[in-house]
Amino acid sequence: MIRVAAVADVHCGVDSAGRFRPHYEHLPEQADLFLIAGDLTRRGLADEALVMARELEDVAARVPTFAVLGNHDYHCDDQAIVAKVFDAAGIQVLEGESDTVEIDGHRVGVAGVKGFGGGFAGACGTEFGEPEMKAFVGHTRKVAGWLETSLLELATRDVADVRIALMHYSPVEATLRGERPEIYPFLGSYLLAEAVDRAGADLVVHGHAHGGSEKGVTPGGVHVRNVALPVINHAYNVYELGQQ
Amino acid sequence: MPSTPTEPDDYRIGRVQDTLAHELNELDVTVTLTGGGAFLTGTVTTPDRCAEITEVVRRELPGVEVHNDLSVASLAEPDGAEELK
Repeated sequence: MIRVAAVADVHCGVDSAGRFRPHYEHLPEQADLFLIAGDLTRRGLADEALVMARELEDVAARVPTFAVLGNHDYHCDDQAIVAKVFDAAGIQVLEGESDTVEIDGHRVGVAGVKGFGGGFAGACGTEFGEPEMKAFVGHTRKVAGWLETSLLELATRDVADVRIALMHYSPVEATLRGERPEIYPFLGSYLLAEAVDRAGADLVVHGHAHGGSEKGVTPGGVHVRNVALPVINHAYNVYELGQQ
Repeated sequence: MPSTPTEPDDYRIGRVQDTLAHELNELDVTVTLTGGGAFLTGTVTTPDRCAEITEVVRRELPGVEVHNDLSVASLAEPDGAEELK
């Protein structure tokens, strides 16, 4: 059995020192892996990342910890520096990449990508018209492709027998329930679910939709969990994968 | 620039939410203008954020009573684990 702890959207500010660290103290007793699905910072400042890295350093030293960045982490255009700060603290930031860890005799692979918006069947954008619209949907299509490739690599090289897709934006509408439907295209895209279903995975973890719902499933039958802090209303949630 | 009372509510709400996004990087507050004032709903990460948001909305909507109905997300440890089958 693999125990996965996950949270998203902690939105750490420069004034957040000490706010999160105590709440992660017992995580290593409850989980084998810690996933953070984006928006670790409020504005994407390196100083905010340094504060959050300090909050996470104890837990990351004891439990493999992976993250993807979210839209807030991109706000100041310092996302590369933000990612380096977390990487240096032992929190591996994935963007179109994957890695594996050995847990309880299983090789667990995590493929991570920020994702992006565009919407869902019957109400989604297309790469048509103005360059801005093409760029918007084209970005989602590109990063969904990275996700599919990363998941496929984990499968075809037989390097992982459990695969988890980690992203910030939502791949399905179900975990957006509670948000206003008008903004669904800014909260996720079916292209992310399509990538997961084509490549295969055991679990999708995302954030971003603060007003959404925790539980959903892709059209192909993969569990989806929205772990945005306001949704789970806990420091993290724990999901158990596989038979004990 | 603070909104003026003569503007339609839609534009005033839009301006307040734009200000919240730019000044506080807060995208998840719903502002509802009613005859009884402005009601703020949503979930934020700290009690300090609640106070900051209220202050900005009061400044942007002068003369409007602001009701802060925001919730603060809990950082409690989880009660247990969910087994995915």
